[in-house]
Amino acid sequence: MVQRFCVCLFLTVSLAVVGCAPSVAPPTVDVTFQPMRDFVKDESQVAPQEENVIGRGVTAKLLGVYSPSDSPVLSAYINQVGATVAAASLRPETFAGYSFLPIESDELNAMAAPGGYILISRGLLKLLRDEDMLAAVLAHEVSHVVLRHGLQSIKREHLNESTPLDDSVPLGAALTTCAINCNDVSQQLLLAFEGAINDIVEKLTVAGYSREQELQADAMAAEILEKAGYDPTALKHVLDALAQRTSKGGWFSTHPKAKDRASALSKLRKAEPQVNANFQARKNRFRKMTKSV
Amino acid sequence: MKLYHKLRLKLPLTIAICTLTTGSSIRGASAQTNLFVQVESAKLRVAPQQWAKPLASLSFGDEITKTGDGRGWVKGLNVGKVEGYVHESAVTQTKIILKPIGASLAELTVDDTDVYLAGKGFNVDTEAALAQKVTALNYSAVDKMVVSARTAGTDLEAFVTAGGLTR
Repeated sequence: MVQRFCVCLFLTVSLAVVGCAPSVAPPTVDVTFQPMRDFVKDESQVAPQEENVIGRGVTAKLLGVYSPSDSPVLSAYINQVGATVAAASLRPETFAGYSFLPIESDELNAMAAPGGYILISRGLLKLLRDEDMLAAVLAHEVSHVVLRHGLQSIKREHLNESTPLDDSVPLGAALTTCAINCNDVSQQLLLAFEGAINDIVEKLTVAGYSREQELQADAMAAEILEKAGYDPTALKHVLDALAQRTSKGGWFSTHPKAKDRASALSKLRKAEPQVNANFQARKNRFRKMTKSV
Repeated sequence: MKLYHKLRLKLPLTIAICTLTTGSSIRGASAQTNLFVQVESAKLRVAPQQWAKPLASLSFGDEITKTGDGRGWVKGLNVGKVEGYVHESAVTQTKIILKPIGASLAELTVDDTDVYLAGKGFNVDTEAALAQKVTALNYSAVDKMVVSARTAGTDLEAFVTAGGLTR
């Protein structure tokens, strides 16, 4: 009986070990550098908490250059439209939720930082004629967040500089004494963080996403609009309006040609959308809320 | 490698597969799976819809037991045994360990890559250090932006209804 019990116990423990624990004891993971390793492998493995810290840094840098709008009414309205489209996306939950902010700039521009921090310029707002067009711009930006395009623009060399990817390099050796009065921050981690923020800001304001990334965001935006109950062709209306303008900067310098994007969107959708009965109600509240623009 | 670890950990669960309920939008969980809330806050709702009535609040790191899933939503029980729905983007299978108050991250280690130690890597301390180094960063505007978004989101359901949008 005791023997049988011992055999059973041995088998149970063996199965548990095979099933739940690595066959070879894993090396101790240095938790400070683990997430950056994940970065290099796959941006989607960046934990939402860290993505949020990166997004806050990017937004703080952008808001060091662009002034936030001083209209709380406009800001609240843009947040309501933005939250509505974000709720219809594949990723309605980000670490701190989505936040939208109008900025004082004549550029025709909108930008999305990782984690869901989205800015839209007064210049672009002026171009829009109704709420569905506003929802289209915000849905496009939400799509960049869902697709994690911002994180993908972080240059690998920043991470390689500070992260010992080769296992032969002792992780501990890479940690330096905190340069700043902060126990958990190493100088190298700080440099990597600053580099990551600069990479994303440069991508958003100068280089722009690839044509493929923009078209992905456009296609996803059309889906979001339809799911939310907005006119799914509203983004095409925005692009048509942009194509008629001659301007420099913003969506003109960082995005593929509006005409090409509108044409790509038309190919996606053959049938005419049903016009929602409340379109006029939305148009009216858009006029009222954007009076200050 | 991470996927390999995950598969290995899930193997005993896979072996213990129970009945799958088909034909409904939310399938029953094949086996008991524990999930962890990976966002600051989320709601457990009465139905798998963003505007459905909230039953309970969930916080970062909270554990829920999955009882079903489908169409982007997870059905689960919280620690208080309240059953409801949470969007799958709010939860992860990776166990989340919150940093003990006063502990230094540099001193903490974990021996499992499937465990996420909250606050590791880029964190609030990194943010504070960068804000000290680069004075042009406008973090106070970011904080105001978040507060403004949360205030505007309090009556979103009425906004959606008034606009004839999908609830």
